[in-house]
Parts: sequence; C-alpha cells; structure tokens
Amino acid sequence: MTKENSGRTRGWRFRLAAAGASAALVSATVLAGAAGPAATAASAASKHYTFLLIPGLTVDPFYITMHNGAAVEAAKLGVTLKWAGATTFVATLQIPVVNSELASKPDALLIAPTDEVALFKPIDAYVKAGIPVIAVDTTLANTSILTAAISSDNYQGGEAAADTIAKLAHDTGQVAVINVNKGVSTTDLRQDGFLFEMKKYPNMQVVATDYDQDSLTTAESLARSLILSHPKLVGIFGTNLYSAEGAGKGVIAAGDKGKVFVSGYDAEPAEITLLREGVVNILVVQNPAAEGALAVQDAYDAVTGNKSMIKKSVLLPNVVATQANMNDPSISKYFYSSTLTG
Amino acid sequence: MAIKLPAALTPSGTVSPNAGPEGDPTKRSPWLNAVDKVGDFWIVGVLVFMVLVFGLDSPSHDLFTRASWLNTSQYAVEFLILAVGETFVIITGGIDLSVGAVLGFTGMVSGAVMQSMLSSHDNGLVTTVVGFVVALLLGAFIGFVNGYLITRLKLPPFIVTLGTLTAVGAAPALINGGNEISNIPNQISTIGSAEIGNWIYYTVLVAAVVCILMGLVLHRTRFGLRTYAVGSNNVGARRAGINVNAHLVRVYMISGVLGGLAGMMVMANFSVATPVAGTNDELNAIAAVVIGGASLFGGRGHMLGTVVGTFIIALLVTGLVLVGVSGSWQQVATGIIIVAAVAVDQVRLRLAER
Repeated sequence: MTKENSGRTRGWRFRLAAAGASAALVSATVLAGAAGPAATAASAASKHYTFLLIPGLTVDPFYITMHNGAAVEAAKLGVTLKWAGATTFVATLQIPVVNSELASKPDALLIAPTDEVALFKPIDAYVKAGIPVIAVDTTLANTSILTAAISSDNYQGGEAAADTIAKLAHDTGQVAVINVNKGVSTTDLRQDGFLFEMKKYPNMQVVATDYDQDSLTTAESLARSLILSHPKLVGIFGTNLYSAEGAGKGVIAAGDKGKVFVSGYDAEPAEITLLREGVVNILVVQNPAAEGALAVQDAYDAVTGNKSMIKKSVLLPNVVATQANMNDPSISKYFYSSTLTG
Repeated sequence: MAIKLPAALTPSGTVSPNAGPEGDPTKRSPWLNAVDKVGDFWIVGVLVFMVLVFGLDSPSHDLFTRASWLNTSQYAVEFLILAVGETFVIITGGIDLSVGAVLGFTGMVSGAVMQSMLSSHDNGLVTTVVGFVVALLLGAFIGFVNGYLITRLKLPPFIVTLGTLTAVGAAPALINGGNEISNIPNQISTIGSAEIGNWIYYTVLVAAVVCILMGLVLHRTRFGLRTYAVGSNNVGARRAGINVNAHLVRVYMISGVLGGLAGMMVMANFSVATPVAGTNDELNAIAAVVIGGASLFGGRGHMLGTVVGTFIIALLVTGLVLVGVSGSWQQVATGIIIVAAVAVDQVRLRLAER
C-alpha cells in the first residue's frame, strides 16, 4: 500500500525512467544469474538462516520502518536479515532484483510486491526452489503460492479517519475526500472505508470525492474550491501524503484552520511535521514495523517446520494520531523512521 | 528593440505561408476578414462563457468571489509560467516535454542548497537569492542541453525533451532521499502567502510580469519575429541570415529558465520543496498553448492565447468543483476542449484560405 502513502505514484515520467533503467538492470541480472548456481550449498548445511527482505522501494520511511521492525525480530531469532531493492516503486525495477537475488539462495523471501500480477513469476521461482515467500504490506493477486500475506488494513484506516473527523466536528457537517487516482487498490480501499463509515453519522454528508493526480497544487486548489462551495464543510480526508498536505495548505489559505479538519495517511517525518504545525489534524498510522516483525516470525516458523503456527492472511489495525496524542509515547512509537537500523 | 511588423506578419501574429497578394487580408472580402478576426479571439469567448456558466450555476455565485479568484489565479501560476516558455518553443515548431520535470528538479536542488546554507546559519535573504539563482541557472542549463542536442545532433525535439523529461524527472527522488525539504527561508514562504491589496498573490504578480514581458519580447522585438520566422520557414530564416541554431538554443533556454522560476513559485506556495512537484505539468502547459491557438507545426501562436488557454484549464479544476462536478470529469473536459480548440482552428484557417 505504500505505493501511495509516500506519494510514489509518480506518473508516466517515472515509469519511463524505470523502463530505461531496467534495461541496464536486466543485463546485470543475467550476469548475476550466471554466477549463481556455483555458490549455493553453504547455507543448507549450517542451522544459521538468512532471510531476504525486498521492499517496494528502499528509500521510503515506511519500508525503512518495516525493515527496522523485521531486524529486531531477526536479531531475537538469531537470523541474518538481508535488505535489497530498488529506489523507485515500480515492477520493472523490482523484478530484476528479485530475479538476481534468487542466486544467493536465501532461506526465506519477505517481499512487498510492486505489482500484484507482474511479480508472480519471479516470486514463483523462489517457491519452486523450495524457498517460502511471505508478502508484506502489498500482495499478489494469486496468493496460493504465498506462505503468508501480512498487511495493514486500509479499509479500517479509512473508517478510522471518518470516525476521528466526526469526533472533532461533533458529528455534524459536510466532508469530502481528496484521493490520488482512480484504480489504486490501497487508496481506493481507504476511500471506501471512509465513505462507508460516514454513513453512520446522520448529521454528516460526504459532498465530494475528487482526485488530485498526486499533485500538491491540484489538491490545494480542490480544497479551496470545496470550502468555497460548501460552507458547512468540516473535514477533508486526504488519502496520501500529498493529498493531505495540499488539502491542509488549502484550508489554511482559505482561512479555515480550526474549522475544517484534515486527515492524512501514514506517519513519515514530513507528515509528523505537518501534524505538529497543524496543517493536518489527523494521521492514520500504519504499523510497518509489526508487519516486518510478523513476517520474520512466519518465515522462521516456515523454515523450522512449524507451519501450523502461521496465519495465512493477517490484517493489522491502524493507529490514529492527532495533535492531542502525538507526544504520547504509546502513539509516537508508531511514527516512521528514515534511518535504517539493526 | 521594437521593430515594425513586415507585411508577411498579420496582426494575429501569424506568418501566413502564402503572404502574396492573395494572402493579404486587405485584399479579401470583408466577410472573410471578419471570420478571421473573430476567429483569433473566439477562445476568449469560450473563457467568458465558462466563467458565466460556472459562476451562475454555482449555488451562491461562488466563482465571482475573492476567494475563488485567489484560488484560481494561484492554481494557474505554475502552468502559466511554464506555458509562456512553451509558447516560444511551439512557435519555433518544437516541443518541450521537460518543463514539468525541470520544475520539480530545480525546486529540489534549490531547496537542498538553501537547506544546507540555512543549517550553516546563513542569512535568509542571501539564501533566498542564491536559491533563485540556482534554480534559474539549472533551468537554463537543462534548456541549453535540450537546445544543443536538438540543433547540433539534429535530434527531434520530441525525443530530446522526452529524454530530459525521463532523466531529470527521476532525479528529485535522489535528492534528500526523495523526501520533501521544508527547511527553507521564511522569505520564500512570504512570497507565496502574501497578497497585494488582498487580491493578488506575489506569485501571481510574478507570473503576470513574466507574461507581459515575454509577450512584448514575442510580439514586439526582433527576437520574437525571428521565433516566428524559424518556426514558419526554417530554411527561409536561415537564408535570411538568422542563426537558426543559436536562436533555437536560446528559446529552449528560456523554457528552462521559466521551468526553474515555476519551481520556485511552487516552493513559495507550499513553503516546501517537494519531489513530486511538476509531475505531468508539461501536458497542461502544452494544452494551454494549443488551446490558445498555437500550431504544433510552428509559426503560429500568441501570448494572449496562451494566457486564456491556461485560465481555461485552471477553471476546469476550480470551477467544476464549485458547480459540484466530480473531479474525474475535469480531465475529460480538458481533453475535449483541446481537440475542439484545434478542430475549430483548422476549420477557421481553411475558411480564411479560401
């Protein structure tokens, strides 16, 4: 789901960049693959395990936090955690990494697939080689080959945003959604959850769902137009970083700070700053660290023959941060980190 | 610098391909001249029509409020500045797909430079000036690379700028770990939030000055005339002694510099340098120029048309929301208007050539 929480749905120029770069990586894959088969047998002999974690992208605080959670669990279990991936959230860059890392024969693969269809074959190659695979955060369309799939609950996140806006606005008024793009599964789920939950409040109406194409400028403009045309507006749900930031700036520019509450998604350092400054009022915080830790546990159970311990599909609940509770350690411990540890 | 317009240049800024006696507007029937005149400004009518419809259709005529003007004008700023550069490029018969990428990249580089200057306790004002200089110079450099590759290696503008769009567009993800940079001088935020007389943001003023200045350059100077000449008849321009290659490089550099300026304006608006800034902006900029009556084959275009085209696109975002139309329809409407604008223009030209 983190494709959009960090705003990495970049549009076509990023996809083009990725396509260009992948040509170079494919040739690297061929070389790595050729070197592979000779250098294997070592790991099977000892009881020391190496797990490989491939995130959606390596530079994103969401995935860095996932890694840190996984690393803590791995250290507990005496497992070596390897971290490899691309710097952009695209399948064409992730697939070569997945393909080439097969040669290193990890004992388990933990991966956040960047495409639910395109990653099937590369991941299936691991399964065919007897390596258990656990999907973290994002998943595959066909989950039959996966040992487990762990994710945060985007639908519940949308519901939580709705409930918190309703609470701040005393259950009365109009609300709107500023979403990223149609057809992105995670942000669509967040929107669906929000719309469903809002129906529980008889004195609240959803007046619009708009799309900003991941543009701050458009999100700001949409927010200002919504405020203008709906004087009873009390809340805007921005489904990712840029939607929420743009909406928040729009509310401030319109002079409606404190009257219109903005909910964002995720807790990257930039968003924590926005929450502290009051540009956004609510953050729905996922739990990537727990996702990572649980994935390591599942992988360990899989390689040590405790398959019965594994829950095939897990949806973790989210936490809601507001200005009121953001300094409480029981909340702030969920905020994402941009430094790799462990 | 101002020069007299030669006969071949009609008032609409069109270098007519058959500017002989038959092409001279004064020798044709008054009816055709009227069609031509109205035709040049029909797009203004579309804008007025949209303003009226959105204004009267919204529940309390919200479009005619100060808040709506502030919103629409601010939204238009980045597209307007990019579209001004794009106007020059398109009139030469070229295209610059890299403007949105230049906007995002120059903003991030400038933001990173300013962040490091501020952390070594530099003066906010000096830092601001340096930030602007960095963005404009970097924009000029990317424009120079575009122009150089197009003229010296004889590569098509589409391919060259697609390349820079791709490469430069991915680069912001490599700066500051792809995260937003918020440690920028207060002076920059002031430019974005302060209003002059409650109605005009400084960023809007900057965009207006750019439009007027570059409009004068395009329509009142030898540089502008050469821009039309290069676009309407490249070989002729060469024979007339114009250094076409040097001129094209300068035009792409103008586009690049304005990309850098737009990057700073977006940063001013949000008080933050953001890696996704400018994504897909080139499409809006090109659409604005084309809706404004420019021809992708070169030689035709008008700064006023570009301004009107930009505001049509901006209104489709801010106005449609006011009348309660869902956001997805905005793009559908933009698409229809682009095609309709070009189609009407073609019909109009065919009528005028009769």
